[in-house]
Amino acid sequence: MRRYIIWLFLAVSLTISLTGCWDQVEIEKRGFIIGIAFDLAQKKDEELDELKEKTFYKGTYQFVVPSALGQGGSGQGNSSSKAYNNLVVEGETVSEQINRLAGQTSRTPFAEHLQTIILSENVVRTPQTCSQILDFLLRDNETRRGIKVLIAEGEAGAMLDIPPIPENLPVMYIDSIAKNSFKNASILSERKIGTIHEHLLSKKSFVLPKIQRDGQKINMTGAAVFDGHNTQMVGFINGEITEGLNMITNEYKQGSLKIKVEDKPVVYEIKREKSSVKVHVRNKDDIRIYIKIKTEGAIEESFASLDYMDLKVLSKVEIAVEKEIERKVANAIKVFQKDLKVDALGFSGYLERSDYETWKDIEENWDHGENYFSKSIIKVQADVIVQTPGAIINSE
Amino acid sequence: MKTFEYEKGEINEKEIVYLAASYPIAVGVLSIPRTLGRVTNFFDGWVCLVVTGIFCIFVTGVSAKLASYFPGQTFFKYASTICSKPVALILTIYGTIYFIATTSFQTRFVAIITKQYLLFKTPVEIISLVFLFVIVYAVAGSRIGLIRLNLLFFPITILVALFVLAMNIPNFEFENLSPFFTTSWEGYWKGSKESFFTLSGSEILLFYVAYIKKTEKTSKYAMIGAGIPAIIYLMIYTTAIGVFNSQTAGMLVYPTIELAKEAEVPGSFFGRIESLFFTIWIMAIFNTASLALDIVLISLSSIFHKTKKITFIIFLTPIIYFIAMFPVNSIRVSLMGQFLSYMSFGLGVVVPVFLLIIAKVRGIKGNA
Repeated sequence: MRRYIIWLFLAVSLTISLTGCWDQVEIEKRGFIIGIAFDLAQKKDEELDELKEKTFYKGTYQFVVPSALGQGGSGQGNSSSKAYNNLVVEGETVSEQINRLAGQTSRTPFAEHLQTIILSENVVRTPQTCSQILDFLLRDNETRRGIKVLIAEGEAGAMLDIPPIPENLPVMYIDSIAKNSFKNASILSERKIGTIHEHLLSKKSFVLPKIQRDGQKINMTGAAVFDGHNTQMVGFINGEITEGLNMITNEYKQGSLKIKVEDKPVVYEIKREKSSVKVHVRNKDDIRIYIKIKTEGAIEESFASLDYMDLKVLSKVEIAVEKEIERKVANAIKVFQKDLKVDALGFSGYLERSDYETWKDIEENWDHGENYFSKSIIKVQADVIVQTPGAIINSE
Repeated sequence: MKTFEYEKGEINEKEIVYLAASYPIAVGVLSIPRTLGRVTNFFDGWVCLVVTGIFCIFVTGVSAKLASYFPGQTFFKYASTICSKPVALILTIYGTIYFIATTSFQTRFVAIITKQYLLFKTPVEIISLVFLFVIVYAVAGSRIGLIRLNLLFFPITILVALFVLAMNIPNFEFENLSPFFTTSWEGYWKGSKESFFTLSGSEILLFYVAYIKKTEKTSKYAMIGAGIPAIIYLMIYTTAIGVFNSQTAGMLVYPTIELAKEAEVPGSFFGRIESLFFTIWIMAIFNTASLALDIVLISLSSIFHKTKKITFIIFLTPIIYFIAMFPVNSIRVSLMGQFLSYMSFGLGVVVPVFLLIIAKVRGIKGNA
């Protein structure tokens, strides 16, 4: 008898506990946020007085519409079957926006699949805002440290409205362009919020990829430069400078350089690039940085009729390419040292590793205050190898 | 509850390797890169881990040596032989309180992290209660069955940890490791203290050696066992610093879970290995908590010979649950963990060393 009572008790209590799953959310009820764009909100005049100190952000949230996803690229012409849905909310904090969002959409906002966030240039030109917006994304357990960050020139929300041919979602479209950095050297490779968190904590300056809308197209060459001291954007750099930056920071994957040999264009394709940086400190006013760049590559295109089987000709080409690389890199360094006056090239890390005591001494004044960075002497030396002229020696 | 009786219920000598290894590996792994990252610069925390690892191996050897002088005797019995019955009683009660609190601490910690990473809405009270029931069920059976279960779980947890580390190799940046030796002596001291707190586990040997068949090589096997967590911790710490750098690791609440979050398995099918890692890691915490509760039962039954095991369990479960629910937030739980660490220093280091010295001075040989 006692045994039956125990069984009955177990059966009842287990059945009751089965109905009590607190965390049950049907997948159909989730609204997958895949991208967010942050802009500064327009303030109305009467509101301005009472909200003097507050900055309001306008967040554009891109939701996936799963039912429209299955059709692939074929349903593009039909506007009713858009695979995404953009919602715009305003708020002082990100969590406030997401909470407001829940009141505007039939599906619970769910950020675990968030891929990319885009910050408009107006947002990040104010000190500290970058870290304030990232705080929620880093703190929340739904979002991961692998979310990519882009800086928009102009309005960020507009980027999420781009016609995403041949992809389904504008965010995926933007992501795919960002991945092309291995083919186009003037695109900065993707930056994740985890890496930015590291920069924010170490107070070192950094760069983030730039995105720009050009009518119905997107242009992602160039980068936004941040001052690590107060995490404020100090300016954009163009594609050419980004190329030089990529060469210094070892992120140059593949790219072409156009040089002139005998006044005719010759294109050298860089297949592999490796840079090494050495920092020599005599005293804190005399810091010398030596950059060595080694490249291997091939002749991609040649308008000049040259005999590429001749070593002398090859070395002539190599020297011309070396000059070009040195010019590019020196240009990039000049922009950072003299115009922007921030060290987003990562030299501080090399200094920290090679001479920790000096670094501790000048840490506060490296690219701020005294600015030892802009006073330091930076030398570039390139070493170019042409491995092959390609399939032909000459076309005519 | 039916129980399956194993032959004699004795532990094989080699199984002590797994016991000594699986007891220290628990919740400390999840935060060790943070605690070290906060007090040391760059990669200097490895010094702390190596030094305390060697210290823990040594202390484990001492505890196992002491206990193996008295084969088949419980801690209470041989402690009475060495230093009179009242002192032995006090030491046993001290140990019992420590292990009860350890069970509570692990139970609460599981609930906190589960709530944070897996079940966002389920109340902490329920998660703790379910976990506690599982532990209670495990210790209610035969002792050797529990130890076999530990042996079964241990390799799985280690494999998953290694898998997470391997998946992080692409994110590893060697620049994060240098410059070397920039930490102050104070930093090394603090780091060593923190690493000792998570690496120490010698106290369980004082109680478990009584159940070992032959004890000639016990202390050797125990020392091998104590070396395993030190190596695992060192690997996890190195990877965390390589992936996050020390400053960032110091700002993440559970850097080891974040490592699992950071890992990207090729092919998007296994996108979320942190849930896999975390589910498996609960097994490691289960090992620690169930061993701790089992030792509570061992030491209680060494004092009260006649009481049945199940009576102790029914009496202890509410107490453990109450202690687990006592701290109001995760920061207080960590403080409780710190307090427990000081207690473990007393039980795992001070007690065995002094007992061994007294035994030598008074010329007590034991039965071996």
